[in-house]
Amino acid sequence: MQIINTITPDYRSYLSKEEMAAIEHEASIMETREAAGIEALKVVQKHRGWISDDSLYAIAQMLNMSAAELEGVATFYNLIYRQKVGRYVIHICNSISCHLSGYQQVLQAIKAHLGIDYGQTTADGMFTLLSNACLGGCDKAPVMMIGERHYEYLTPEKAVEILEKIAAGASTENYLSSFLNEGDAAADRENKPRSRDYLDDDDVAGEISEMELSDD
Amino acid sequence: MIKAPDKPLTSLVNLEQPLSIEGYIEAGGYQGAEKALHHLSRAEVLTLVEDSTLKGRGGAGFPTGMKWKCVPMYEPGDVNAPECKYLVCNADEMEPGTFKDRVLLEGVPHQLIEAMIIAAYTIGAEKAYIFLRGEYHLAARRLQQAIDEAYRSNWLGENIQGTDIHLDLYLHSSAGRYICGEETALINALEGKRANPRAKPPFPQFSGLFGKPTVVNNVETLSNLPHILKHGADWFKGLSPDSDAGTKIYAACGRVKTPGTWELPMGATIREVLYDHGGGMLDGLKLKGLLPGGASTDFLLPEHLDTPMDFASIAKAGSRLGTGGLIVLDDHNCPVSMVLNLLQFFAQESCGWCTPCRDGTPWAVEVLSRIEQGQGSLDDLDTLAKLCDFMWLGKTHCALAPGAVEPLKSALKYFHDDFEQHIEQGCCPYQGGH
Amino acid sequence: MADIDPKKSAEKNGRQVSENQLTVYIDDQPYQVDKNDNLLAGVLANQLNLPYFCWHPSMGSVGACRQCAVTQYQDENDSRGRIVMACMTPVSDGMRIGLQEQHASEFREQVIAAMMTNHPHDCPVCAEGGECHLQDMTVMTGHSARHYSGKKRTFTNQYLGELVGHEMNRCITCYRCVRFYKDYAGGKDFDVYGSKNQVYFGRQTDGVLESEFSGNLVEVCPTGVFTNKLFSAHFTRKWDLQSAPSVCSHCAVGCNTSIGERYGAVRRVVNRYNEQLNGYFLCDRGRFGIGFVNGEQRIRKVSGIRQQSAEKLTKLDVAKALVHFKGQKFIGIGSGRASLEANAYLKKLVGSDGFCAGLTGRQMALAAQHKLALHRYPAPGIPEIEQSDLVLVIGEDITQTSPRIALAVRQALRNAGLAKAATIGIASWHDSAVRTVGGKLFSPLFSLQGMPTKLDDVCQQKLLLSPRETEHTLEVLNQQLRLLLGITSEQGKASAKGDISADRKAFISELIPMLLRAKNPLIISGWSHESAAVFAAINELMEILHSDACMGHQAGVGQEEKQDEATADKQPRAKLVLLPPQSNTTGLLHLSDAQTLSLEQVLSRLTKEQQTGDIVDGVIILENELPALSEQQAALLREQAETLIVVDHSQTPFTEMADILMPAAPVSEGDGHFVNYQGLCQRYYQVHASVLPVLDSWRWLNLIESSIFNAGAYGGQKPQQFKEVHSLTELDLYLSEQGIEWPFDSKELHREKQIARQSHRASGRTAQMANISVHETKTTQSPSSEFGFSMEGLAADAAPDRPFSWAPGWNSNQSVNMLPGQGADTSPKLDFANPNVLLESWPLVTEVEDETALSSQDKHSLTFIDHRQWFQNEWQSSVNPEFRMLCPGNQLIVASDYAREQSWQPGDYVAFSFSLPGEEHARQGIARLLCHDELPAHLVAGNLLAPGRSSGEGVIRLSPAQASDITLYQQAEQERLAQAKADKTALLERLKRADQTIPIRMVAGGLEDV
Repeated sequence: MQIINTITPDYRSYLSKEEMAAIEHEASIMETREAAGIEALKVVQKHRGWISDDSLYAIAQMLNMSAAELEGVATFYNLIYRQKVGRYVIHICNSISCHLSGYQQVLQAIKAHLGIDYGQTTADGMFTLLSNACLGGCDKAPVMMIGERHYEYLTPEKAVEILEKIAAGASTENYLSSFLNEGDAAADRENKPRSRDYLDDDDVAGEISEMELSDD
Repeated sequence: MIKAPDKPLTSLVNLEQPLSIEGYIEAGGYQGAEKALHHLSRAEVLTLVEDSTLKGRGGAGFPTGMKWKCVPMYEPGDVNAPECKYLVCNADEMEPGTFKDRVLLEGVPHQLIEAMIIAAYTIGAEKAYIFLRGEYHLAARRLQQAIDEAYRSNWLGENIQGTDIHLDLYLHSSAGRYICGEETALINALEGKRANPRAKPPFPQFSGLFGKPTVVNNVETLSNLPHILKHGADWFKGLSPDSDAGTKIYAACGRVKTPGTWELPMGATIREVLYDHGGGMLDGLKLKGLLPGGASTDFLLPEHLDTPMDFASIAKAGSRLGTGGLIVLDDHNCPVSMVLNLLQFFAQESCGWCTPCRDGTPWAVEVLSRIEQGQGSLDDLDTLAKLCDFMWLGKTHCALAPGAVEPLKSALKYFHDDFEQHIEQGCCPYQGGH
Repeated sequence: MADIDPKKSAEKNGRQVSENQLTVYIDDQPYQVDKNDNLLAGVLANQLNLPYFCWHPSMGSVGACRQCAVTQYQDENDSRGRIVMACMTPVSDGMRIGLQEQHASEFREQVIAAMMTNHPHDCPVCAEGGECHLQDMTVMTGHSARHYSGKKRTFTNQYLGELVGHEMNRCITCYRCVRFYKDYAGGKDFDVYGSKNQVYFGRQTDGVLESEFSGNLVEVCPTGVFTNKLFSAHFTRKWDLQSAPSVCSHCAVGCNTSIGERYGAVRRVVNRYNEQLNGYFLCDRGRFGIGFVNGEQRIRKVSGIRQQSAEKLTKLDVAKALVHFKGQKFIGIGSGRASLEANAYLKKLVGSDGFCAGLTGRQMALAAQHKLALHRYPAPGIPEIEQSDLVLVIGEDITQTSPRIALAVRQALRNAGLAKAATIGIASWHDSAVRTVGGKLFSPLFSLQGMPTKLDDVCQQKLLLSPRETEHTLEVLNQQLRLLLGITSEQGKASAKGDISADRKAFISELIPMLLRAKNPLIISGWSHESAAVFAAINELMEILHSDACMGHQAGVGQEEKQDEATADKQPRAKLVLLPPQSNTTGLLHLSDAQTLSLEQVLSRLTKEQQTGDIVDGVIILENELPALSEQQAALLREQAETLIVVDHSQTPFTEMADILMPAAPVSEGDGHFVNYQGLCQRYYQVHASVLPVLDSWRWLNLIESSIFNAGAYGGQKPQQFKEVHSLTELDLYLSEQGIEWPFDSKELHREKQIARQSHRASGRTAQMANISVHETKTTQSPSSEFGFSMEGLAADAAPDRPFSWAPGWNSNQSVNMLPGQGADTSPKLDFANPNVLLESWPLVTEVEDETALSSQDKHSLTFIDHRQWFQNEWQSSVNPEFRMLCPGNQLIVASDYAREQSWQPGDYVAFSFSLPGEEHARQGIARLLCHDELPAHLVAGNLLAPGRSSGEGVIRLSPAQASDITLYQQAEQERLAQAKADKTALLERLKRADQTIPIRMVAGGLEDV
């Protein structure tokens, strides 16, 4: 029963036209609307960096599913961020080939350089560090992924250098296009710089989920 | 007619810049699909694939023809016919140590599209999805471009190449999780749900995506189809001297000289892959053991080097061919730490559905961590052995936990001394091995 | 359990050995199992122990927990076998399995060991302790030592409201909760989150669980993740509860419950399995509504009677107070929440011409149509409802008025998916597979409602209509059906007048072919709309569906069906469920006849008498708060009645005004029968003896009769027709001798040995009163039933109605599965003969006055539709502090378009003024606004009515609210909530204090019974 009350914002005023169009497209190629849920989360995350509670409610409403169900989906998949992340999310591969090739040293160097541990974000909001199961670059181990780019044959020095470059380049408007693997137009469109405004909006409107999984 | 290639899967691979549809057609592409759509009935294509004895390259090695044959076929106008059937390409390559599909996806996307046209035609599917793992961004861009080209050239869409055959092909990129590689979990993920594997029966061929008949095939498996169509079943069987037909993309990673992928006839030996192509171990390192087909296979030892890498021979040696990607353990890396890393992966990637996997894999991690840190006891080895039994085939909901058990069980067998040394010495004897 | 003769054990189960049974060899012994069961269900049905978690008899199998592993052998020569999960294995004739085999047995122990890696060791402080399925299974598998030395995973818990507690650390991830809440009950605010060994079950954020079935989580969870907060707040262990089989007193479904008591206070209600009715599940009103019996509003003293002794009231006191009414004429007002016995006794007492069922004239007309329907079309039980393949719900939000029926409807809608699954050989117990195959395929649900309901998500077609529009739509439907089937209109019924809108036309044309094709169509309606015309139209629809023409048509439709099947199809298929508002309204229908008065007639007789000399001296109100009377009418009743005698358990406006007030026993302290919507007369038993002078209403009536109507009772000779009754059995016999159509023979009491109300582990019986006397007191006697107030006696399962459920090794509610002859219903059923008698005196009145009233509306007068939630629409439970805290205040749902037109936003406050049919004075107030896109602009749905009041179609006017009024309203709301909270605290304090000084009665009979 969809009775509109004051608690849930109307998705039509929350999601952007672009987001809605992309989500509608995904829904149109599936038999059910909720089948577009994962893609919808990715669409909104691409625009806003992460999925706030309000984003979650808006998508759920748009796809005619419950927020709880969408939360169940969002928290299952590791590439959906339900907490605020930095501008760049570092996924360092910790699987077997990288393990055999010494990713641990690379990881140590990154942690030391950024002063953060797994799951944390740097104070300037630039980087969040996460692990990732095998990135499929086992022949070029160790590997990490930042944004849509994979960095291969890492050494501690090389990893730090990459992070420094990204941090330095982030201030210049056009850095991101050179940061992509391929400079094609489609990729450019998908990777337009994330506006800080969105993130601020989310910051005000959405708290992170009440559910905490503590694991120590 | 172009001479039949001996490396059909990878002969057109270009990782720098894959062929556009024009280039692909010029190089002989879409001829297999052309033949299927214009010259062969569905039954004839099915017979051809069955005759080729093509087996699934995703790890389980199930005969592709047999899988397709289960899909119910309906006469036109049959009231029981479902509104549609689906074909899904499993491009969720996430098995640690496996990166073969990536080569095909990034290097020759049109080959996969052509293959999917053939497969969809055969089983009567009019909608198909490529389920691509979320981290393969480059593959996603290249596939989408190829799909767009195929639509423009009427290799996809309505009335393909003037026939009455339709196929819509969509790219779906995942949001992570290894379990999505399990075909029924993949279907759940594609339906926008949590990717818990489904109970079988029903098999996807009867009730898969959205409850409709569905076939899920691996990228490499599918990629063989255009060539089988073009050159025939006998040619395909002739590619390999072995009982398993065709070629296989083998790979090697770990501390070997030239890690990478190589397409070789089915049944190439481990030695050929590791030494002739992988260049052998890095200087100063010795081979201690290897996983022949990804993280969820049993260890083999240097004594197994001459085992042909086909389904039966590897099984005979005590492991599984899996994905055919060697993960090589050298003598300076700790086998306990390697197994711990593998179990951490499986514990992390457990979907959380059934008890043995959800609670058994973290338990194994807890015990292995203590042993690796030198705080284990000999009782712990019994616990590990018990856990291996606890998570074995038939006791779990899907094959993830039994897959996790394979390297653990074989390591307990082959590297027992290493485990005991950890316990006796109270530390990892390999520390500082890097 | 030593009995291993399969036939015998099957018979002991009360199941027939038929072609549905096949033989399975379990540890080399043959057993009979049902071929439609999975192996686990088959094993358990033979009372063999096999542990399990994720399987549930109503929810089927998903294979998640892996606990029910057994060894399956290929044949008798196979000695190794292989491990299979019993719940995922179909049974086949001659199959061989082993429960004892070591490998499987070790694996089962390891599954527990794995679960225990994270399960805390907090059994001493866990509310589930002592009735925990996980505890039972742990002991059963023999797991006794901990081998895991790592840290346990920890979670943060959620606040889920005042009813259900949450302790996620105890979770063993069996997925039962989400499968119940979301998959089975259609809940939208609960799900499963995370993955690996960090799977979390709960809401998206903290907050009150929205489902009206949330309490079932407590029973569905195999351990203590979800607990009954009300029980925990005043806790006792299960084994210390004194329990009795009972029947829910909060709606007409009559779900079977077991009420538990300790130290004179009722602690909780749990489901009592009845396979013909509620099965395994209760709604939250049934589970949590019981609090009223402990409440401050309970009446525990008589008033208006002078006591001789300060300590106690005697029969002589009562006789003295009443004797001077001898020979006077009384009118008796009965009640839908009083027992059948009490109502029948009242009717006997005042005579047929003095009996009022507590209903208005409108409701009597409704009752007449209802009785006709019950006479013609026996209402199906819940298992039958679940077999329906098409459901049409008319004018009743069953999800809020009779939630258990809505839950059954939800299951019925799965039949399309089950049928599809069956075509590829998937059995119905294979829940995950069925849901995979079925997907979003549902059997059709058609709904004609005044407001959106919680079944809309699975509804094929719905229309939002006022009752009058509903009636019109049904008339058109009937007309179309008659035309199609070539049935001439009976009684020259006029064809439906007026144009029909396109959406209604579409609804009807979609419904008709499906209705005719359906094998088991079901129509459901209820009293909410209070329109006899709607019931009449439904009766006519049923008549059409049961006509030869229709059945012939149906047989012709299924052409591919075999001939004999077509013949069998001649059985009428359409079923009808009409839901009255209260637990015994159907009993009132049985007692109502041509002379039965309406409330309006009662008032007019009270006022008329003075002129005509037809003297009525007094009124007896039996357990009725008469919500249909306005304040003015209530005042008139008081004024005109010379004497007002009220018998009730809780304060009502009339208990305040009564000349004589007699405290009645509520359901937990009394004995009697409620007649459910089907006409089943179900017995509820005293859970604990009431503290004098609280007595069963029928005992008070017996005292009244002996005093007023038989003044000679004390002193003189007892007249023939009067008998002093000491037990319900005697009463039932007495009533049946009085020419009242008494529906059943009294049950033979099981007298050789009583059945224990307490568990055999109940602790401290001899010490309970030690603070008062060290002498062990005499056990309270129980004349009305075979149950004793003691731990001594036969085991609880000796009777078909079990006080509580327990089996050796099974302390949780799952013991139900291990008890032979589980939940067989033996309640007698009424047949509702002679419905026309009532119909003649209450014919269908065309509501001309309403018609004019409504047609003269200006465009700001909208139609008011009642829309109360489950915790608001039943009077007894609505007094509970927890339910009052759930109440959102006044809410009105209006069409989004209408709100926009008025420039109102959702959440705004508006002023309302509305009146119901027949009401002169408009009710006024402030309400909060909600909007709905699909609601027609002329309808307003709201929760403005008092609990227990049904509405019909009212007229409402909305206007902008004054800021000062809003402030006042908000303040009042805050005070209301604060008061509820304070009441809750005070209640708990009082109950806990009372635990120290329990008053005990020795005999649960009349007065002076020590």
